[in-house]
Amino acid sequence: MSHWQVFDQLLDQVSQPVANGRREMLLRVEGLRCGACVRRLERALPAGPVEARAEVASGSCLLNWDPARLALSDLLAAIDQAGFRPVVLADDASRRVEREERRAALARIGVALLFGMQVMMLASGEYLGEIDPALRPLLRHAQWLLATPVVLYAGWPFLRGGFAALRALSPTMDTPVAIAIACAYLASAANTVLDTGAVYFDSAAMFVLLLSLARFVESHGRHRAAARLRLLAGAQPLSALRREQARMVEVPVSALAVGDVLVVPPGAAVAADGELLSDTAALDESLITGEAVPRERGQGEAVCAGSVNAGPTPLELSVRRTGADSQLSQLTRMMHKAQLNKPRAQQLADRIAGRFVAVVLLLAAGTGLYWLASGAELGMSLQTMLAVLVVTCPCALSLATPMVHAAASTRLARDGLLLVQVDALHAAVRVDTVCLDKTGTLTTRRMQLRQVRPLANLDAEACCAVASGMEAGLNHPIAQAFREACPDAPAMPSRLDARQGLLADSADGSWRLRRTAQPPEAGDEAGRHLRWLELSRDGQAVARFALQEELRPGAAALVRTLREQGLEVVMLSGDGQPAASGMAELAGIGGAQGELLPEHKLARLAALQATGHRVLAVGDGINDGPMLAAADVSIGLADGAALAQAHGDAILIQDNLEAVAVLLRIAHRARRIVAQNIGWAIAYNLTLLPLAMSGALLPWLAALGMGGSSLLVGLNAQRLLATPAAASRLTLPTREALA
Amino acid sequence: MNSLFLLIPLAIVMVVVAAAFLFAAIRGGQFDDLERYQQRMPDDDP
Repeated sequence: MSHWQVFDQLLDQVSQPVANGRREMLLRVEGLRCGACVRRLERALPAGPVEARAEVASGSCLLNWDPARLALSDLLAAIDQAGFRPVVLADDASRRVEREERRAALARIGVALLFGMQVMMLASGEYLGEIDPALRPLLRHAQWLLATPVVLYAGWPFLRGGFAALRALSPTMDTPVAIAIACAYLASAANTVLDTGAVYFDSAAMFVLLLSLARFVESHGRHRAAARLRLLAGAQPLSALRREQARMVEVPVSALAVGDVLVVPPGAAVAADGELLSDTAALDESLITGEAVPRERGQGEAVCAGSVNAGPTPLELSVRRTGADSQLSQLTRMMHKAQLNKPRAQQLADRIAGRFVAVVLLLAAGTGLYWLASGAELGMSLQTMLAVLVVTCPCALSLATPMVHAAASTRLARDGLLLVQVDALHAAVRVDTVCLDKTGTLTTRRMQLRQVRPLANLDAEACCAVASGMEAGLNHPIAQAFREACPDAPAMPSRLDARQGLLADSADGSWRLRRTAQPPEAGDEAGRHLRWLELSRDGQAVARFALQEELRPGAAALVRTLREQGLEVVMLSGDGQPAASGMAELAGIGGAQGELLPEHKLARLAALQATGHRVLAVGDGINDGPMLAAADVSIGLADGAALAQAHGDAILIQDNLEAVAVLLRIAHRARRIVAQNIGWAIAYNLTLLPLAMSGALLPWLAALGMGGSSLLVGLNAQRLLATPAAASRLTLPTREALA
Repeated sequence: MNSLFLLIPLAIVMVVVAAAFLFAAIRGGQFDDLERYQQRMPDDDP
């Protein structure tokens, strides 16, 4: 009986039904490193019942299989046997919905591009000179035929959204867009049938194309971030090992009850809050507290769901709280609540849209009535009215903001920031305070061995080798630091004791390695951010080790840049006060607060906001989640907890923290460019409007002006791409250097 | 001039065919991942 069998019961939670009774699921696969691995994985699965598409870049595999012919457990076991570790993810329909959305958006862009180009080509004749009256109906009917799919298929989201908002009496920017597209199309169709006036099919097609492109690029960053998050969400365990008499049974988390005994293997996450039954255990609680170094817990102490067993042996616990009552769920709820209270800047364009629609409709109706009253024919009056509606098309106005958003997303992605909420760009302009988390944000999760101080007759290298050997079976930052300092040390079987630390016996005596306070002789200020360990043999201290957390690249430069710009930088840490102050000093931050629980961080942030500050928060752990959710602008770190990232306005996927300063710089430039674009669009509309109302506007001039101002707005937005990168950003070697 | 009465409808038919190919490619998933192939080049293993 394999432990994969539990997933047969969880089929609905981890996969989605597709056609022909087959199901589809996304799997995270560990050990997928190269193209050859992909082939090996795909060959390990029977080709008929399973279709697998593995991806190296994201370490994931999309499976489409027939559950009637192959059980999920057998499928997972086959992947396992091929030498990969499958991580089953909780699946919701969002992935499929998103994929369909993306495909539909691409199809719309494709149609707008292919058909729109033909329309523009056929329209160019009328710009160049007089058209042979015998040919004009052919050219116009062809344009009509080609523009129809562009307007009705590619432009459908704008038409539907715009008119739906109008019916609900809350016009958005889509409303004048929809009115303009519909008017241009209908007026052109009428003029084609009557063979008079002008046609605007090309303007309508170009407008739909540019708008669809801008919206697609804008949503691209959001989709990328969502795709990443789905893979990370696997950190939450779906099943747990429950002890039933002498046997161990893998059960779904939903089936756990208070009092159950769970076994957590090394490296696995605890599925429910409970009480430790094993004598001692090392628990990595970084998800909840942000503390990178595992905590040693003794029998009877509380263990929190989401913490990871960092020790070398399995641990046992008795379940105390499950599901919605667990500490993790409570934190999640706190985040959702904070997010709901967050003010969202309404976009300028949407704010003016309502008034814009009213003014345009009034002007058009007034123009028509004026011409009718002054004795013009009905046809002529209608023509002028339509000319007003087409000319007031807010093409440039509606493109002004999305084009800038799209360029900003593209530019930020180059510095490793995925922009999830484009609104954050508007909020970032007013930010005056930056709150940084310490562990995992300002620092990486790695540690370095900085000092070895021998106290007895053993030299530094020998002491280091002993400590490294004792830590060999463990997997946390301290153990890794020793492994790096002393890679060749022979492993020594060791055991963890809650009160005494790490113990090991060898021919030389019995060793003990444990955390110690800062020794008095190292009382200098610079040593405060160090973490001290003491190694002793047979009860006598032989060496002290000083370890230091590693500052994240760009951390000091970021703090310097922010302070130069007059921003206040604050560190809010869950770690102890001395460590927090020491690290703050190293990074150049003035104020540091330690020993803060998630709710304290949230309270500190709320206090800042209450005194009128606008706060940008950067964090990585679930403990930062509430703070991130409530901040005016928030940035989650990609190597942090999935839940924290889910509440970030942007996600930093590269190591360099300086991208935070780039975000602020881009936000300021973006605001300037949006203002320029909107100013230009309004000026353009105001200039052409009197001409159209007087009936004196040359149609080709109107069409050219519309296209020209849309292009101008788009090109102006592209200037954002030239924003300089972070100062100390790592550059890749050039092609010449590699050759 | 009369050739346009043949060539323009022909162009329209060709655009429709091109769009049909595009739809088939999108439905086949060829555009689902726009990120991966730019990272493919440094991959030693094909």
